[in-house]
Amino acid sequence: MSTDDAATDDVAPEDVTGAEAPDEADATSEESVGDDDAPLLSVEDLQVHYKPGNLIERYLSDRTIRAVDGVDFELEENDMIVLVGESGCGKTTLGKAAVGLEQPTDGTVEYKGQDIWDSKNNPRNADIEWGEIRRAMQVIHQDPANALNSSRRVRSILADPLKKYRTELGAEERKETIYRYLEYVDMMPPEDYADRYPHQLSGGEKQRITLGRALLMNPDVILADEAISALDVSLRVGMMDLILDLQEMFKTSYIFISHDLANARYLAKQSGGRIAVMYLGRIVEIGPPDEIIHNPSHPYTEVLRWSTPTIDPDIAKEQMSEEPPVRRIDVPDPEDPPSGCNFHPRCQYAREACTAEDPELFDAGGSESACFRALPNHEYWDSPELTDEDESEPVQAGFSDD
Amino acid sequence: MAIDQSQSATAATDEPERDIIMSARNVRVSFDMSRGQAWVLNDVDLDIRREEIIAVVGESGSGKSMFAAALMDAVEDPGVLTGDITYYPEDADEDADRIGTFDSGTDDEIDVLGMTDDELQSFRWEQVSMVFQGAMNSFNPTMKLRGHFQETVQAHNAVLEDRMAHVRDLFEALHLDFDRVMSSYPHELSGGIKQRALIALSLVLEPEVLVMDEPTAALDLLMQRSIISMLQDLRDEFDLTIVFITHDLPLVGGLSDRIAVMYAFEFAEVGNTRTLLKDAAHPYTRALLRSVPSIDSDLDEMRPIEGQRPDPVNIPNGCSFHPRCPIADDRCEIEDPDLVGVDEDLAAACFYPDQSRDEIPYTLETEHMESNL
Repeated sequence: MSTDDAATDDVAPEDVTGAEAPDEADATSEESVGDDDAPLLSVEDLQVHYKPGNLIERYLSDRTIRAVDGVDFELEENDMIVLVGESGCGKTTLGKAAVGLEQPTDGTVEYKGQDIWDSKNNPRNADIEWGEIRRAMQVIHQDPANALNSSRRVRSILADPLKKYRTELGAEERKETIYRYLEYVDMMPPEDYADRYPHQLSGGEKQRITLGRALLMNPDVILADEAISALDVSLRVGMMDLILDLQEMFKTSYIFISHDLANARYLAKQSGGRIAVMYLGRIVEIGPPDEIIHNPSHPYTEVLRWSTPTIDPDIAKEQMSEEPPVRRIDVPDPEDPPSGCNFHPRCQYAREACTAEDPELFDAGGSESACFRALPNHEYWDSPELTDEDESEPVQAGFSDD
Repeated sequence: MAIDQSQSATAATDEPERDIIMSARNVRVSFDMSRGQAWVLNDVDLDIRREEIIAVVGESGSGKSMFAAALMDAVEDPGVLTGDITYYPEDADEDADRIGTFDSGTDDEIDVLGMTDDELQSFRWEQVSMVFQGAMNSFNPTMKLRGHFQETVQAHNAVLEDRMAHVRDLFEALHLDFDRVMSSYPHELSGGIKQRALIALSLVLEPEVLVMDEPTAALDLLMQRSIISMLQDLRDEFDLTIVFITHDLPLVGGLSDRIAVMYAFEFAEVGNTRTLLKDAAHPYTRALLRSVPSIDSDLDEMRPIEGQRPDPVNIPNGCSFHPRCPIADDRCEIEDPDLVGVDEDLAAACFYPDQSRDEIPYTLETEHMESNL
C-alpha cells in the first residue's frame, strides 16, 4: 500500500483481521473449546521459584528465591495491565511467565481456557496449539538496539514473521503489508525506512520497529517490558500514545512493565486499564489508576506514591520534609521472606496480626489490596501494634539496610 | 553567549545573594570523528553560587555529563576541552595553607584548566569532588570500606584521626552505622548503603563543591527519594555547594535552588527552580515540561516533543532547537540566541520568551485529589 492510500489505512483494522489467516484459526479453536467465556489470559496462583547457585549447589541446597510467589490475574481482550514495582520485585519474571517465556514452578497460565504448558507438553490433547499460543503472545523488550539484528535491513527484519506465519502471501503482498505496518507505527515514508539498517534509526524509531514487528504477528497479548525506559524523556509520551492508538486499532491486550508510577498512571488512565503493584513476588494491590494513585489502600502503594516526586515545585518543597511512610527502608531478602505479610517489617501500620497471617487480595473499595486493613472486622484491629524491640533497627534510623 | 545571565539572573527576590564559587566561560569540548568534528559542549557559560544546589537537567546526549567532567578538567581523551573554568576558594589564605599553593591563577581565583597534574589531583578531592552514576560499583571488592577511606586520606597527606572524626559526622547525616559499614566488604552492603558511603567518601577531605552525576539512578525509588532528602541536610550541615546532574526533572523540583536546562550541548535556560518550573521561558523547557507525565498532573495536555535531538557532528545553525520549535522564525535559523535575562531570576536562550510563554501551554496543575497523602 502506498502513502496515497491513506484513506484506506483508516479502516485497516477490519482489513487486517479479515486477511489474517491465524485469526480464523483462533475462531475455530475457540469453538472447539466451547469456552467463549474464558478470559483471554488467566494467571492462577502462579509461582516461579529459583534455586540459586550452580548445578550441584542447586541440587544440594534447599535455598529458594521466590521471584513470583502466588499471583492471580486475568486479562481481557483489549485490556491493559501495568505492573509496577521496584527492581527485584519479580515483575519481569511474572510478565515472562504470563506470556509463556518462562515455565512456572507452580500454578497455571491459561490462554482462552487452554493451559499453555499443557498444550506444549501434551500437544495431542491441546485445543490450541503451542505454536498458535506463541504467536498470540509477543514481547517488546526494553532496549530496542539489542532487539534488532544490526546487520539486516528493516525490510527483512519485518519479513521474518510474515514468512513464518503468513505463508500465503506473495513477495509483493508481503512488501505491501510491511509498508502498511510501518505506516501504522508512524514511520513515513515506509519505502525509505524499509531500506535502512537499525543503526540508521534513532532509539525511538527502533522501538517503533519492534512494536511493528510484534503487531505483524497479529498477537492477542503484548508484553512490553520497560518498553519506553530506554527512550529520551521527551519522546516517552509519544511512544505511549502510539501504543495506545494502536491498541485501539488492533484491540491488542498489553501487559506493560514499568518501574515508574507516573508512566504507569499515564498508560493505565488513557487506556482504561489497571495498575498492579508488586512487592516481593506478589501483587499487593491492583485497581484503576485513580484509586492506586490518589487513594492507595496498601501501605506499600503509599510508599511508591511517596517516592515518586511531584513536579510542582511548591508541593515538592513541602514533601521534601515529609518522613518516609515506612519503618525501615531496606527490602528483605527474597530468599528468606518475613513471616505473615511479607511487607510487615517495613510497614508503618503493622500489628502483631500481620506477622502471623499472610493476607490475600481483599476488596478495598475501589481496588483490591493484600492488607488486613481492608477488612473492617479483621482481628488486625484488635491486635497490638508491633514494637521494634525484636527488629534490629529503630524507626528513626530507618535508612539502615541489611 | 553573553554574561548578561550572571547579572540578570543572580538576585533571587526572597533569597540572600550568594557569591560565585565556580564559573565556566566559553567552555567547549570537541571530539574528532571520522564524520567531522563533534561538539559535545558548545560554548557554555554558567556561574555556580556558593552553597547552592543547582540541578543540571538534560536528556540523554544533551552534554550534561560532559559539563560535569569539564568542571573538574576530567574530560577524557580524545576530547578537547577549551575555555575558562575558574574556582574561587572561600578563604583563599587558609586553603592555600592546607592544600599547598597553586601556581595557576592568584590565591583567590584558581584557573582549573591551567593546573598541573599534581595540583589537579589535590583540587579534585579537596576542593571539588564527584559522585558518578552507579559509582557504588567502583569500590574495590577485596577491601573493606575502612580501607577505602584510609587510602583516600593518606593519598592526600591528611591526618587520619581528624578525617575519621569528620566521617563519623558524615555517616550520621547519611543515616549510616559507622562501625558496621566501615568493617564490611562492599558485597556485604546494599546498593543504597554503598551509594551513601560513596557520598561520604567523596566528602572526606571537606571539598567545597560536590558534583553528582545521576547519583540516584541505579537505586530503588524509595532510596532515591531518601537520598534526595539527605542531600539537603548535608548541604546545610557542611556548607556544601552541590551540582546535581540528572535527566529527571520532577526529581529536582523539591531539591534544587536553581535549575539549568541543557539542550544540544548548550544551556537553554537557567533560573530559580520555582520560576523555571512554574513559568519557563524557553520553548524547549516548556515542551519538556509538557512531555513528562508526573504523578498527579493533568494527562490530557501531555505531548511529546516533535522531531529528534540533533547530532553532535551536525548541530543546526542558529538556535539549535529551531527545527523542533513551534515558534521558530527566520531569525532563529540564522542567529544563535544568547542566554539573556527574562525575569529577575531566570535567563533563557531564546529570542521570543514572551511568545513562547503565550503559545506553548503546559500546566503543573494537579488533578483533584481525595488523597490522604
